[in-house]
Amino acid sequence: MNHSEKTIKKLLVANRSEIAIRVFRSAHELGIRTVAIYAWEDRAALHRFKADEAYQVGNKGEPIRSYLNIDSIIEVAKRYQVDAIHPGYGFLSENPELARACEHAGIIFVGPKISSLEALGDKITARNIARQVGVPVLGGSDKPIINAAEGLKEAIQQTFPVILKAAKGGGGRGMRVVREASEFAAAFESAQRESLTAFGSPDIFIEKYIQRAKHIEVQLLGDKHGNLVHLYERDCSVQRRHQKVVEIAPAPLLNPLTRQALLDASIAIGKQVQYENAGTVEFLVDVDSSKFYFIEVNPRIQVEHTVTEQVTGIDIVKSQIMVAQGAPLSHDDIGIPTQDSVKVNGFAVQCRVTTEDPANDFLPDYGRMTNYRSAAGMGIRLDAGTAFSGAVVNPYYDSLLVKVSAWGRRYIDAITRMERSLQEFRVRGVKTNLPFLMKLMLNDEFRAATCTTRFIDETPELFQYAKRRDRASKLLTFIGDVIVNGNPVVAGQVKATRREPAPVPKVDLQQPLPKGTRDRLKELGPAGLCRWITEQKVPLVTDTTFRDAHQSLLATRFRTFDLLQIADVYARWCPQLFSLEMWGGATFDTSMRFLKECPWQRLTEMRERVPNILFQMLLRASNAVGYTNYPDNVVKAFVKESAQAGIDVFRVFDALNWVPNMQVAMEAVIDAGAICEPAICYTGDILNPQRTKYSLKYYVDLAKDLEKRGAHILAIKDMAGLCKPFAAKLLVETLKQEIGIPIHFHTHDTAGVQSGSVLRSVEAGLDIFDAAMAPMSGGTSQPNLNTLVEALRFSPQDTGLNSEHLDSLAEYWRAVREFYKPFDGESVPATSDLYRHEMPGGQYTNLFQQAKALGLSERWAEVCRVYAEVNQMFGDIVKVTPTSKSVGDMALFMVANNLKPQDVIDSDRELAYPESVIDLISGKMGQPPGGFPEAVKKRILRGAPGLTERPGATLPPVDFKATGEEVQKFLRRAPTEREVLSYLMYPKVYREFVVHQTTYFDTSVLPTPAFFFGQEPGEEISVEIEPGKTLIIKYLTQGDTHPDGTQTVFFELNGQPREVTVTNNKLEPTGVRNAKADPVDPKQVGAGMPGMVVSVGVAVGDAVKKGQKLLSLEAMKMESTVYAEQDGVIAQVLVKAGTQIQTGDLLLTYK
Amino acid sequence: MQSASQITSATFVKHVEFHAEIGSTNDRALDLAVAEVSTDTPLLVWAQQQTAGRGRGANRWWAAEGALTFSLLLDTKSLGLPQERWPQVSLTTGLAVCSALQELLPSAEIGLKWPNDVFLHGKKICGILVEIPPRQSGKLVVGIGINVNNSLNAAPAELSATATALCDASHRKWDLVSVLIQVLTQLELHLRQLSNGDPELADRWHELCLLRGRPVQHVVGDRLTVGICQGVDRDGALLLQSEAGLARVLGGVIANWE
Repeated sequence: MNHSEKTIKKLLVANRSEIAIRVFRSAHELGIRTVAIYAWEDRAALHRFKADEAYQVGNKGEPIRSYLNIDSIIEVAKRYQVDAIHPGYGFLSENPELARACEHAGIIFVGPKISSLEALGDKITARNIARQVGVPVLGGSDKPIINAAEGLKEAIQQTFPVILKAAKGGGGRGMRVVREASEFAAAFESAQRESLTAFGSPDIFIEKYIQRAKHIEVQLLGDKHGNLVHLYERDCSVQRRHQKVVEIAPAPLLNPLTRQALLDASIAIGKQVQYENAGTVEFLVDVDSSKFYFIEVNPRIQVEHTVTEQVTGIDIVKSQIMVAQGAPLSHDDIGIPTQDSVKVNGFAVQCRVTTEDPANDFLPDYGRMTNYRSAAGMGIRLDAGTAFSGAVVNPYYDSLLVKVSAWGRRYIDAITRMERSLQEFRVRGVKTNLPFLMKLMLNDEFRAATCTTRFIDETPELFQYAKRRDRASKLLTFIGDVIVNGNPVVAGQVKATRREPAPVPKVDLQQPLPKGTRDRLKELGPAGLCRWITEQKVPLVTDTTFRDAHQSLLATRFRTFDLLQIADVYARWCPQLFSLEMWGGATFDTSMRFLKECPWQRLTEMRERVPNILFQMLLRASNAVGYTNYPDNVVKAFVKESAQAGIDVFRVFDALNWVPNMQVAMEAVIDAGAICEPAICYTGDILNPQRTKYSLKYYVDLAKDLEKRGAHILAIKDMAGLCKPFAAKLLVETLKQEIGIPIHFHTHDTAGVQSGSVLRSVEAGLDIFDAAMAPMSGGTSQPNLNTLVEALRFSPQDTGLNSEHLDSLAEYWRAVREFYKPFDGESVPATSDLYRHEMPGGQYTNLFQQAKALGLSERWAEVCRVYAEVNQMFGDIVKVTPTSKSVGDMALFMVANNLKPQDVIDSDRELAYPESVIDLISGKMGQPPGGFPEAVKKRILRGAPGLTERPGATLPPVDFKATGEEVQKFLRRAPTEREVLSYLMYPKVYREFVVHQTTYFDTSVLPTPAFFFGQEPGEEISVEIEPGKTLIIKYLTQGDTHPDGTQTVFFELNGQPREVTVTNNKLEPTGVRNAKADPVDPKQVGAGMPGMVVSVGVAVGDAVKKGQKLLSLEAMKMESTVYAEQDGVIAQVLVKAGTQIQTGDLLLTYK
Repeated sequence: MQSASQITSATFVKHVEFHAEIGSTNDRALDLAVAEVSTDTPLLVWAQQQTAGRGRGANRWWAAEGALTFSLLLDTKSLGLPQERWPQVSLTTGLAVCSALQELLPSAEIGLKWPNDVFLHGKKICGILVEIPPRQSGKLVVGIGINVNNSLNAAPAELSATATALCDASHRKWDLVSVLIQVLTQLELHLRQLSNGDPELADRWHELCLLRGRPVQHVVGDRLTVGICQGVDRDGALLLQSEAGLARVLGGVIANWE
């Protein structure tokens, strides 16, 4: 071995990223010191740190040009005693000038001879060489096309389709397929233009275009001693716009005769130019005829050399370096004494993982990679560029992140292994083509190895995939945002201190579920169930803790998370309960608006856990779960969908007890096969002989009417807790005689005596009563379920419920309530005044807050008195959402304006009444018994006629299909019926909810303290995002604020460090927002248009004359000058040259 | 002059001032704005040949005979253009010229380089300079120079590599008046859209933007920023994605684009 002496001691790679690193690796293995060059923009790139030495070339602002700057590179090489340069691929790799400059400087160029580079670099000479050795060349022009007309002649001769190629091109640029003569001229011009801009050459030539082609290339390796071998072939047919996407070695399914012919042809071409070092000969193989055609030679290392290395075991880069030093192929460090010694073992496939978004036409994405996790394991090779957690993908370069090569014994083994390793990847912060590659690996045609070069273009399904959900990052961003900015829902409120989970009693989930009321409903149907209820000797109980209790005490803020935790226990311990009241009322609105949860999801998830107890909801008749009247078809659809989602009992009420308004909803409930429970809203006092309007007879008549209209159960809805114990007894007693359906009593314990009403009614034969678990009972909520059950113990009406179990459940709710401290208002026990103003429990606290906001808190007693007066003025009406709000608004309006009822009716003053009052009096909420007093109507409606019929009767039906399309626009997928209904109920709230869910994922899975307050440093929570997928999230700390106002929050996710960046809303980003000029203050000079300050002509303290030039602005090449509008002395100059300004920004001020 | 009446009847121009030779049509229009001699706007100053045609700053616009060079004096009040929207006039004029060229050469590849250089087949064909006359008169001067019949084959070599003319792309001569009418018609349409706020300005720009998705160098004074152009925002500001994040650029020049 004469040539074993190593001459290279220091090798520079005139390239960047993965290929630079690839070369450093082989060089290091040969004991050679490595030198990297980097552009200023690449100063944080990984290749810089993988070399022994690294030097910057070029200047800032020349990210690409720096790597093309031969003089600078040679200068670095000489200064640091580099004795060899490897060009990698791309950049200068095929430029003979670099090789020449190396020769001139006495530096070894790791690559072919200059003459080979020159001969092969030009496609036309290369084709001539192929012809010389008898290798078929695709029909085409030998010379560049002079003009479109000449080209067209040539194309017609070749027969269409043809392909136009830039002579100096590569990488797919300057290429056009032309299928017919009429397209030729335009395609030629655009190819020429692209060639000119991309390669500085207008030369275009024509080739015959093959319809079904495989792209096969042969790897050559030669030395300086005339030895030339091939390392077999690669199949690179999978291309996107002429760019290789996946490469395979060897080519699967290639006919052995064709293979041998390709290999022989390649060697012949190589020999013809005495090729040395590594190179690739590219061919197109016509699948239909098995004929092949030479395309070009790439005289350099290629991106896809990895697969050849994997199947042959030969280190091509190492061989390149050895050959450049003069070693023959037989050298031990190369190991190819003869062609026969090159053996192929198995198959290898390479995928290029790039930061391109396949969903957006492969648009490159940039930014900080917040997380990078790569694959590993048997047969996997990774060649990565700047790929690590925290790396910045910048926009200047090729978007290649990492090349993944997978080896397998059979072709299919390599593919499945590749698919597996792609699945292992986690790249966050930037988009990647991973979804596309995975889809490709699973494609049948690809797995059958029958792809041709047009495969990707002709396989649109490759671009249809489920978006990576990236749920963890989204949830972390939410928690981070709450840590930094707080959750706006609890802004300014007391913080809850409880963080440990509420104690859930242990139940044996192995045991079969006990049968409950819902099983009975399924067995007997609604009518049968109701018969069964009336047969019971003891009262049944509805637990309102899941809905009305927290609506009354905590502004409806219980989250689904806390409801679900205890649901399993209810299913096992409380099958005797009549129902869980758990949906409707305000839950629909608040769950989306404040809790950012889907109300339907709450219902279905609860249903899954509690399949055996009836679910009950409160439905505002024609208002459904909203605050306005909906068209009949919306009400019907809503009821139908709610029943399907799991509601069994619909308590339907109208705020004015106006039966016509309840009819549509009642019919819909009956049609849906659910239990129809219309309610009579109780107001007044049946024991008071003075209050004749809402007498016992009134309620009995109402009840009979509802029974006649198909009610299964009658509810007495005592929303203000006005139904005193003896009144309740009388009412229930009488109703039991007059109607035949079960009676369900619902009251609020505002007065503190409503347990008495429940007990009295039970005595009178009540069938079902509502109550809430002890910690959520009393005050404006329902009476205490635990103590009521115990109070009835040992009486004939003993409910039989297990108090020990109920108390364990109560303990859970006690702990849960602590999470909601921010919403837990002070409860003010009612005085006898309650029976005068008759305010519903929920409104009592709300109205007080409203009064406080208007500065009327000291006149609260007066507000309550006027509330009662307004009620009388309006004709004594039922007060419950939404009518109660109208009465309250009117009361505040009158107190604030010092008006008496007489002033409203008699005065000539034109008053602007609250919107809700006009709605009520105009009949938009329906008709009260006896209608509204004419005098009030006249004053408030100013002569406009009010509605007299049902508002829903005149509303045009909603077009569900059109609404669905509207929703699809922002949801970006087809909405479900439920989603359309959510949008119809609350369009704005639903939109915001969708934005929240797409930004942060489903935050209902977070424990409540984390949702409201974020995490404490060091705290760890576990979050189940789907069955069997749990995130362990530990919050570490938050970083300092960056100048742009963002802040990094550090977590550990499943034990791995993870960070998110959130904008700190409390800080004004420095130097971004300028002060605004006051347009009426003559001492302030503001900008009339947006732009950039070019120059400032005055300084602080300068005296200026009217008309003098103060400063000049520029925007889009347009200069404008700001002149002094008055004489004066400059006090402040707030901008300087270069400042960007918006219209109205303050520029300077006068003294 | 017959063409003057042709122009005033076919376009929104109210008055035409024709010069066989003039220093700069923009300078003349600026003088008219300050002197306020004519109240008939839009007023067109058209020169057969400019001897001192100006680009931005000290740049000279090379204009041999056969080029279409003119300036329009516009009254922003009557056009309904508040001052804050003036910078968009600069972009809108570029868009209008593109639309006119698309009408004249339907298959040609036409593009825009921010803020308003118009390119035909990769070479510059039109320069635009919008200027604000001194003193707050509410007037604007829009100067447009289009290479029409002035074949660039006859131009200095460094110019013919980067510039082109309508006749070079179409191999025929054009009637200057009809080209002018086409441009004025489009300009009127585009300015009217702008006065209505033009919510589609950015979208239309993106269809023509030559810089979008490309690395560009942006220079303001001695500060150089390199970034990938992301098009423009609704105000017409150029968006650059650089290492430091997304920057919004209102001033400065694009020095280099790959």
